[in-house]
Amino acid sequence: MADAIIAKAKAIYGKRLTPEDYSFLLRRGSVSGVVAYLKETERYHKTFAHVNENQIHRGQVEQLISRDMFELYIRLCKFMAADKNSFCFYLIKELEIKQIIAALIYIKAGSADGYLLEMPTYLMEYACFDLMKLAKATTYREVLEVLSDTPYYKVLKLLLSTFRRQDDMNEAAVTLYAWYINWAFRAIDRSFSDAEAAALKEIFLRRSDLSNITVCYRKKSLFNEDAERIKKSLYNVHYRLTPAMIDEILSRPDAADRLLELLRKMYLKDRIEYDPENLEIAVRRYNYSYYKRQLGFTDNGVMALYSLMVLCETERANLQTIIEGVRYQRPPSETEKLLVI
Amino acid sequence: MAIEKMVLVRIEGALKRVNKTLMKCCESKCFHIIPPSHGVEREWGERRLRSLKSKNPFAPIVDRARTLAEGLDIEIREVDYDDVSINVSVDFDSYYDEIEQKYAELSERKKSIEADLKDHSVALMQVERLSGFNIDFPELFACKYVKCRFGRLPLDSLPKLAYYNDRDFIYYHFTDENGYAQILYVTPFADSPEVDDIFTSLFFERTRVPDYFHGNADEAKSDMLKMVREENTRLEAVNNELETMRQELEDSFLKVTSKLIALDQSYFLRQNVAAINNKFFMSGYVPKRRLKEFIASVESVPDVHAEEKPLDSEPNSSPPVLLRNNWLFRPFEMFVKMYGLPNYKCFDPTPYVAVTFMLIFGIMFGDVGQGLLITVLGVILDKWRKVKLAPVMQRIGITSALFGVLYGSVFGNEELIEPFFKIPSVYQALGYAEAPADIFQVSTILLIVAIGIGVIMVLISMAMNIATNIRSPQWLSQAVINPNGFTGMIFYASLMVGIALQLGLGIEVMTTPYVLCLIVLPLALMFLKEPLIHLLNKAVKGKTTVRNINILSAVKTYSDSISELPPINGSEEMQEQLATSNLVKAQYGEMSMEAYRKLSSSGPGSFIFYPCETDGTTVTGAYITAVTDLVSVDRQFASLGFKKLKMPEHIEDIRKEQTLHLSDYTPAEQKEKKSVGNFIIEGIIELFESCLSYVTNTMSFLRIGGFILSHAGLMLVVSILAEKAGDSAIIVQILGNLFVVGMEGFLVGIQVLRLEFYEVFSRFYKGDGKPFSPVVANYSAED
Repeated sequence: MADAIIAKAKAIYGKRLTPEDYSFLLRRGSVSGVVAYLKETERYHKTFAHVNENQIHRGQVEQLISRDMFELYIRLCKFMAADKNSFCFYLIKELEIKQIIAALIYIKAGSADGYLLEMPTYLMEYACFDLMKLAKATTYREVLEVLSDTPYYKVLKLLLSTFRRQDDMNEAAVTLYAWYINWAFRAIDRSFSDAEAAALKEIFLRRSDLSNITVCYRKKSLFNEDAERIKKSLYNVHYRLTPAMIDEILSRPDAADRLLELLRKMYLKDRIEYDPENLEIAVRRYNYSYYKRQLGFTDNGVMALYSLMVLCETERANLQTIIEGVRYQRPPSETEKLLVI
Repeated sequence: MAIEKMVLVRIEGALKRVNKTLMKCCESKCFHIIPPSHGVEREWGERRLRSLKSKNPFAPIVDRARTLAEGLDIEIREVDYDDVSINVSVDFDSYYDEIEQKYAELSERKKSIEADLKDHSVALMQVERLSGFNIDFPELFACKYVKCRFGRLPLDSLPKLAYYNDRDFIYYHFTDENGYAQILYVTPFADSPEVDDIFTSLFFERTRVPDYFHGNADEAKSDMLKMVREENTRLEAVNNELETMRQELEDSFLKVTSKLIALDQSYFLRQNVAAINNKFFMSGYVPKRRLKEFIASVESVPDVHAEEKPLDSEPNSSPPVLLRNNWLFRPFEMFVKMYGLPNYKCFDPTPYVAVTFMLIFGIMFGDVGQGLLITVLGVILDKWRKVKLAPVMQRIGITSALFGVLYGSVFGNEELIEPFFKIPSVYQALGYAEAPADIFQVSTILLIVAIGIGVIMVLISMAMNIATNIRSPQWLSQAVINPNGFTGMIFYASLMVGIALQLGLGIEVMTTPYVLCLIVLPLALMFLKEPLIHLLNKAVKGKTTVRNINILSAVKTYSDSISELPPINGSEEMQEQLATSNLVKAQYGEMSMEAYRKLSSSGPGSFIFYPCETDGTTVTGAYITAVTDLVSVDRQFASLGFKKLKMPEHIEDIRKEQTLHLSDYTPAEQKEKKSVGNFIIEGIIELFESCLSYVTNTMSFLRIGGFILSHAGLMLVVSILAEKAGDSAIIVQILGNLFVVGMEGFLVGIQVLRLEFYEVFSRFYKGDGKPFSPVVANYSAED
């Protein structure tokens, strides 16, 4: 089964957009031009077959691409015949957490139907809570009621009961993510041998490290926040960047430079160039290169699935960048710098 | 069964007859025209010649005719146009103007009806989506206090409408199609901006309903259907009129267009015609057996004369190649053409390919039933689709069936016919006491036979290489001391015969004299190929090359000793290329220093320029080129202002004194570089490579035996499956046989072709022939 999934994942990755495609897309002057081009590609032909490119809105384009990626993921999960508690369904958990955080952010911002408009309808069938009820929730208590029969209730109960508008939403995100990693590690331990489990867990360890470095850098360089406040926004899972290292760096006056140096030494090496202004792009480039390699060499079907979804997500993000560039009339050369190819 | 003999024909005539003559050439379909004759230039002087290339007045009219033909649905093809009196472009224009006027009126009407039909079809599609909507459209649109919007909403957004239950709008959901829901929403006039915003944020796409909709959705649909029917009737009437026009015009249109295309084509061919005063000249090749017919046809044009010329009177071109084989071998020409046509001076390997292909395929895929099935398939594909491979299938199917008789295999059944290895005299001769149970028991013998076939084929290929190259200037290196030449053949044949007799039959033949004379000596000769050729060339010096290279050598010698300027393009390759050309020409003269520098920087060309003397502003020297490139090189030098002068006596003297051989052209530096050590290493590597190729080429033929066994194995599997299938045995047999014919037949075909191309052709064949392309009027629109 693993071989079949790996072969399928590689075949799907083979249909990705090429640098030539991106080059053509960058030179399209409008969203309709971008959609007209995507309609002609093998990868997105079916997704956009019935849309009217002259009337389509960019939000709908992004939704269609996200839906396409999700359907692809579900198809592969069904092919693996995994049960609902399997690690294969990690993406559903991630999306559920994203929905909760998005709903909380809109409630905090006082936007009535803000979350509804971006709510992915395709997730309704798979989520463990009612997304429509979540969209209708206007207070944190109502959110807790919607989540009452889910594991998220326990995680958020204490936090949301005392949550005030001025509080930082990052704390909720960090708490949810900590639960998610815990869930992922248990699911991995249940189904995989030690070696496979270690490789899969490494995904989350790397992800936490990269996120912690970029968050520290951003908060230190842009807002010069104090160390204790920064540490509250960090994930409590560590790989190469240990808590002691974080303490040591954040206490130094040149913390921002040290963090950049650390990111380069630990992950980017000299292979990936980075611009401190766009550190997230460098991290995405690193992930793209790392998971491309994983997809090429792994013999674990779930690792292939995870790698493929990271690569697809990168492509989705690239298309979103291009569409935003076209929408805001950014020069193609500027947009090109933000792409991960 | 060879390459068609060609003759060179020169046609001359009054200039006013050139078009008619070219049309006759096109009609004959056997005239391969060549560029303006070098022979004519020599006879009449280059400066007086002019090309007839000019703007073709017929080309734009042909485009018009093709467009009209497409519109009228007339397929342009060649028809007899003798009775068409139109000759000039103006008359053709008038003819097509008249047709275009008639056609344009009908075409406009048709386009207008088609546009209406398209609009009605879109409206009909819209109204069909609103099926079941029972409100009068005009009444709905006449509402003063509510607004109605028709359109489609992504299915993803549909559940989100529930969120807005408290807003003042109602919506009606008609159908779902391609990820969208067709809906109508109605909202009070005052709330419409807010509701419109909600729907817009949910990606609602509005559809404008045509104002000519009457009644409710079903009534509107009925009206639309009626309108579509009426438009279809009108369209049919216009199509009928167009069809009548087509029928009335077709004959005359085809005749006029055929003549137009022939004139257009002949005009295009005028670039290959030279003219002097009021006479035109053109040359080309015609198959010898059609010469009389062709000359008679061309000379039927008044004031035109055609005559045969010797082939070497056109040194600029070599005769084209037209293969001519009998019905049995003709389909195999395809494989030869695939590799490349043979040179006109060589022989056509098609018969050899045909015989070996049929034979090897038969051996590898021997089965009476399957062979005949392939033949039948070949016949069907030939008659039905004119597939090029079909005639080959017919032939190889028959040889497959013949070998099937030998193997006793009929659709894998080996009980209907007694196989050869079960005949007592055969298996006893093969050394078996009892009849082998199946073909697998004689597999060793099959593999030995396969190698035997390979050895014979390799030897024949070597013999062909010797026959092909024995008269060439490089006969010594190509036909004698060469792995595929005489020495290679002796070595390979002796080794194979020795092994076969010694190991197979136990006859002691590998004696010391045998090994020394027939194996070691040829190997030593191949090892010492380079110095031997050098020595032997000296011995036969001047026989074929001296008249070519002595000019080259003389100018080079003079230039090397006197000139301070370096030669242009004087590489070793170019010297050797010129030295081995049949004819070279040297032209002495002078040009400016600027032109010399320009020439130096212009990159490689097919000449060498040796500067002899210079005074700082002009350079005097000679360029040498093969006669085949003379015209272009002359033009290149003329464009640089090269002034031709008579070759000075002192250089001519050197030329007369030259005693030359090819090795003189190996530069001194090169000679120094090639030490004894280098020579030995290179020699050993080349010798090892040659010996390795003998082994691999011979082993390659093992696949013949391998496929006999794999065929038997596959049929064994089919019969076992059929036995297990019980009542469905016959179906399994049929499917199994079809699979084997399809897959294995295809694989065997590829393997045989591979053997032909790699093991046979690579030893003797150079596909550098030029195809015979007679001038014809091109009636297809693509070109």
